[in-house]
Amino acid sequence: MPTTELVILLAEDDDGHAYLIEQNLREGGVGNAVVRARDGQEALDYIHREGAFAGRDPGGPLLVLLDINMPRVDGVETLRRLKADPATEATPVIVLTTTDDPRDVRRCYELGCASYVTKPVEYEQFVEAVRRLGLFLAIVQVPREDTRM
Amino acid sequence: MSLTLAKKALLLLAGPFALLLALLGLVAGLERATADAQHWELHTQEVVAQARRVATRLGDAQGGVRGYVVTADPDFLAPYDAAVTHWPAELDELAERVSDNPPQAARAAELRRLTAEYGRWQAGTVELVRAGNAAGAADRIRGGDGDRQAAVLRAELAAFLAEEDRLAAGRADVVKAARRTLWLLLAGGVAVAAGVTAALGVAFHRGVSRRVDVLVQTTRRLAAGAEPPAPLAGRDEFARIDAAVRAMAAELADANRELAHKNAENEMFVYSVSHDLRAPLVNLQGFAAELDKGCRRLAALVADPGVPPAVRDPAEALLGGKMTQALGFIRAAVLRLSGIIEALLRLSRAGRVEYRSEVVDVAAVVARVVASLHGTVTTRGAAVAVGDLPPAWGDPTALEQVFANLIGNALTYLDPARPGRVEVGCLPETTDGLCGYYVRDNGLGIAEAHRGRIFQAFQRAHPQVAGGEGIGLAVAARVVERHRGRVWVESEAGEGSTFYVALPAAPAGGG
Repeated sequence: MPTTELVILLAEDDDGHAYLIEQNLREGGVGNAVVRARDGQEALDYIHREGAFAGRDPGGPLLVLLDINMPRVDGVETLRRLKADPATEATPVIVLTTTDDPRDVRRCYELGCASYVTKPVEYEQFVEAVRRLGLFLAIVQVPREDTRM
Repeated sequence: MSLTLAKKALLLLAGPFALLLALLGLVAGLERATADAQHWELHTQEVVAQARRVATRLGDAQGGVRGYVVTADPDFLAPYDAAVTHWPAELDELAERVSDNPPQAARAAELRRLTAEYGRWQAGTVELVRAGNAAGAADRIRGGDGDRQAAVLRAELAAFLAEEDRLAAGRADVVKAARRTLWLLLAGGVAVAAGVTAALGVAFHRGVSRRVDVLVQTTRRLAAGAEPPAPLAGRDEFARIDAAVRAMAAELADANRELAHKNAENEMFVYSVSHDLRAPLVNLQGFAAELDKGCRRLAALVADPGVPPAVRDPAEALLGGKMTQALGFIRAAVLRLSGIIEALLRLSRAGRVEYRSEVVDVAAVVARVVASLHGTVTTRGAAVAVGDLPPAWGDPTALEQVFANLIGNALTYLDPARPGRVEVGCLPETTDGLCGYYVRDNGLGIAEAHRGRIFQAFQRAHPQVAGGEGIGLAVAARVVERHRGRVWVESEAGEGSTFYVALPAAPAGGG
């Protein structure tokens, strides 16, 4: 029986950041499964069940936490491809990155990200940001993946 | 007119010169005519004098002969002898002088005949007296023949003189008319020459100044980066300067583009480097916090009463001492590094962010800044005086940042030993279209050694007074520079500082 619970796809090339984000999501009370992708390509492969993720179990609906500066395919390009494809355009994407350049922020919103969160260097603020994200995830409405397949 | 400047100038000189030459030719011709007329006038006068001599001799001869008749004294005959002796030669000369005038020449011939006749008649009278017949001579005179002859002769002489007088008058008229014409010509010529010179000068000036105006406008617009007017037509000096100015502007524009490109590259580099430095910092800070958390958990564990003191005491010492201290240093260092990176990002943003240009109400901007610094002003017990501030031309957000940095600095670096005073105002005059604003304080001032570097990034004159990365003035300088303005400082250590910001003045009536 396929699980229908929301799966968080964390596209983040930095292991430390990935660890800290997941850790703080958990501490913030987020119990959902977190899948880690090391770059944009892996994230796209996971979403489309291609490459290393060919034939993966169709899990629950996806929510993408997207870093911007990543090797191979960067976050902005990943976002663009997701939003350009009718099969994936409804998948919510939250950009979570160290970049606070207003141009990047504008670009991501133009491309259709649901939210843009800057990772603060100050740890307490970082924790706060991720926790708030956790609260946000608890109430976010995500279209069920099987209804779109 | 596409004549060169040199040709125009030559025309300006040559036109009036040619006119003067023509005038000179006319004057010379007239002068010759006048001289001719004068010569003839003189000639007439001589003729008249000659004729009058003849007439005088006639009277003298007549009188002399009568005296001789009455007295028989030969002395009375002297005038008669002189007349008879000189008349032929004098009348020859007269005839010669009027030979060009046939009627007068005829009269001269007649005069000659008449004088000869009269001479002979007088000779007859004189002979009678010599022969001793004085009474006969007197009768002969009384007979009136002699007087009649003399009268005819006189009439002829009068006619001759009248004709000469008429001629002389005519010739004098010619001379007078020539003089008048000469004066008219001179006056008219000078007037015409002056008029032509003035007209050519005005045309020259118009032609030149119009082209100069276009050239000046072209230069100004090129300097301002605006579209210049159409290139000057023709091949004169101005057209050449125009072409050279355009070529130079194009080269400068190329160089500027290249510089701007390099600058953008540099700023992009600074931006991405600082940006990339941030990601590891998130880790450092995050994991330091995790370690801290771990330490606290460990401390809780060793605090358990079941832990033997031999383990607990050194463990607690280690956790509370070295490890906490080390973590503290790590986190402080990371925060400091983060501050520096933040500053670099701000600096690079000050150079990259797009400006919108509009009239900026500097008075309102400064009022906002002062209001936002109200807390600091109160804590410092400082007095802030804001004078009249004219509007500037630029980006309101960026300019607010400049004034916030300058006024913030003035408040931060006040001297605690005396009541702080900060004054914001503007210089009375606009130079090069720039309006000079200033922020003056009576604070710590900047030592001369520091003054030169005060606008460079990460340079701090009083690091012990306040925290920060030393980026505020660098950002302010960068913003002002991008507004094509100027920023400078006058300061005396221990006395205070005045920071000046020259910004483009708002266009008059602009909005």
